[in-house]
Amino acid sequence: MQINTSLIYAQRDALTPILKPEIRIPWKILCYDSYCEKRLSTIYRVGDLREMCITLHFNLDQNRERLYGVTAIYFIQPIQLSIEKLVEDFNRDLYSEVYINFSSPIENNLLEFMAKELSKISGAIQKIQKVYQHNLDFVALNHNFFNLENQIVNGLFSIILALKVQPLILFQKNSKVELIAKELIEKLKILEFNSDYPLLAIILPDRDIDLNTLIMHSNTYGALLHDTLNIKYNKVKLEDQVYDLSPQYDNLWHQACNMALPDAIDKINTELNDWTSQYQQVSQQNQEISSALSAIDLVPQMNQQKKMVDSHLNLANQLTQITKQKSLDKFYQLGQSILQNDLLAINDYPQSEDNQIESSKEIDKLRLLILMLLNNYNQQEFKKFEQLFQIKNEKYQNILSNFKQRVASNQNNKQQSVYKSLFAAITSKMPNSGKGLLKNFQNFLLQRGKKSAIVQMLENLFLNELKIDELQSILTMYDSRVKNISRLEFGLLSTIKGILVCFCDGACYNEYAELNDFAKSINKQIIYGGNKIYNAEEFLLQFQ
Amino acid sequence: MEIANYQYRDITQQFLSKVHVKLVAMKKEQPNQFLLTAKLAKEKVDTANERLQEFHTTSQSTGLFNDQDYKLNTILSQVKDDISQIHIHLNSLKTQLNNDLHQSIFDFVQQKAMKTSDSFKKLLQSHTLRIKQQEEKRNRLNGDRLIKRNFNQKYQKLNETDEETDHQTIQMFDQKQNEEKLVSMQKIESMLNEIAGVFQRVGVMVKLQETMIERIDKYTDEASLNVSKGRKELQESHKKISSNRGLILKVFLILFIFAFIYIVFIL
Repeated sequence: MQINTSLIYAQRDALTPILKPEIRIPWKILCYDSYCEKRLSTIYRVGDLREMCITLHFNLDQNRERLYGVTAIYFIQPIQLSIEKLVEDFNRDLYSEVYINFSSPIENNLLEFMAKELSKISGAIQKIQKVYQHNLDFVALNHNFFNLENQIVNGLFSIILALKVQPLILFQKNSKVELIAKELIEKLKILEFNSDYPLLAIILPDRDIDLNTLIMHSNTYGALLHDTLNIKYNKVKLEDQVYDLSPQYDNLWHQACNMALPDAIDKINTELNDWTSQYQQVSQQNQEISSALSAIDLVPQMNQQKKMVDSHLNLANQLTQITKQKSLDKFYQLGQSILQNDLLAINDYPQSEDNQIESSKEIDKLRLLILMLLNNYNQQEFKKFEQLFQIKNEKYQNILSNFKQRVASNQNNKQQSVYKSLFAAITSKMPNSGKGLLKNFQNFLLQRGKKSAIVQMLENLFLNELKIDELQSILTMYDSRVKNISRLEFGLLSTIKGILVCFCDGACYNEYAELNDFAKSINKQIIYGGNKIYNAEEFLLQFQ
Repeated sequence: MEIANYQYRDITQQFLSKVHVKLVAMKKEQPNQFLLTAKLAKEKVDTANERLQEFHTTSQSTGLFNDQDYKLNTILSQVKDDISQIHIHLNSLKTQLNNDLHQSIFDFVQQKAMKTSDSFKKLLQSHTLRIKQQEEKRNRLNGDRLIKRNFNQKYQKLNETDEETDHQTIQMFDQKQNEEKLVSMQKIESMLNEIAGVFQRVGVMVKLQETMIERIDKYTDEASLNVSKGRKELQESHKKISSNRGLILKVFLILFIFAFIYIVFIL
């Protein structure tokens, strides 16, 4: 049995009992809080809700009027605030019949609070048809990409339930994730897993093994969009227009998200050409009734297709402009060189005459400088670049000095560096196969020189028999089949059906793209995500 | 615990055990006329869909030797009635639209009805096509028969009664063929009528399609966008007002100075 259920389909299945409580109700309305809205909005469109006979949907914060004789479904997080809003709705006597769904198991005192408050309102209890609790603490951004919004333990637990898998939990010893892993394991112990469920290796690495990937410039469409325009729950806002990047409805996004930008643009152009030729074909068809009829049937579909291509044309256009203006491809190249420890020529950095453009690049400069610090880059070179860049933004200055201190203190103490991982010893031995390539090309189509730490770790774990003993001292594996810790053995890859990588201190589109490539090379599904999806700026702003 | 039981749980009893009021049966609110009509319309859509399904399965089992055209035609006319009734309901609903809920239910039923009439239209098309094909098949078989008959006449002496039945069969076939033709002509005609409706609906369909792929959080987004836009505008108008105020003060100041100079020095 393959892990055929993607996160999106798994989430859909898990949401169905909420949205279709009983068949006899001809239609109903749906109310949710902002937390649950995110679970719904990445999965469903208005049409899907209509399909399930939900005619109206509201955020609890929206203004709503009283609706007579209507069945309402509530989908809320079991927290005081949302329950208070629910009680307020009962106070206003908004709906006649109510189904209540909590996104996760509700604490006893909160259930008591709800019962007490609703008992005060006459007729409220009678309206309640059913109360359910679910395990829906994750947001599926793509079939293999998730956001846990800081609900790490509950989130991973929900994913395991939704995917219907037997988990093997691999976590880094003596790290921040150990506590999280142990809490998750405690929760898993009460479950009896069906032995036909496929095995999923859940890997919880410490973010410290790799900050580079979060900070460096990327070359993929998705990562560049996230860095420049900020993708929030599959939405991008550009000039007051919201672009919907849903992998289910937007095939182009599904395919191009992890492509290098030039390839993605080619893909968008091909799609546009396909559409144009289809359009011409339809419009040149003879005037027979049957072909006219089929042309009419094509209209909505083609309309939708056009919209999708148009929005990507807009986004890619904007992205190319920003890239050109800020020469992001150059930053990408410089970043790659730093990782390779190649000598940077200061002339490689294209300085613009325009001060405004230079100042818009401050974040990119900061990223480059921090990348140098993290990778112990030549001090003199670092100083040269620092002088050239002259970062003026106070926040950024703080971040930079913060990183300087951390790196310095790590070097003085000669302790295990916070930013140089436990894996450094292993990873540094890897040959740099892409070396030299970088100098010949000047754009995004460059091969990535060095594999990110997580990819190297997965390679060592699954593909390199010689490393397994070294990994034994770093990783602990909990096997849910025997409900106990077991020894790491080589050959795990053939028994598992998929891998899930969850970073508890931030994930990013850049790493997502890298893991996607790696997944293709080993022909297994890799699901990726974290407590939050950061772009470089958001991530760095935490270090003020 | 089994995973399936754990994923979601009914905690209604747990909740009710915490409620300490006596539950009295409530008088159920009577749904209003709009909701009742809409419900009727939706039920009609559902029955029409069921009938279309039935038509589909029946036509699948229909072969050259298992002719169920009569049954199929009955179903078709039933569906046609259903659809026209749905339209009556829809028209009456259209006059009663007075809030968002009504609008959304109306859209919902309208869309369902449109889908149903669309699949009805498609069924008609394929049905007509199938009738035509069967006719051709029959013609071919009949042709074979005729050749065979000629052959028989030429080379064999035939029993007269046999000849007669054969003749009768052919006549019956011809008659039936004509009927079929008539029916299929009628089908095409009704189809053409449908097309006229379809052309009018394209606009509505495109619009509906657009709503269908809207994000659920669109309005939440818009609300926040509007709030920030509103704030911006407020700030701008505040700026404008304050700059206007400055201008007015300056003008008055200058006027006062002139007045002062005029009064003190000139008068």
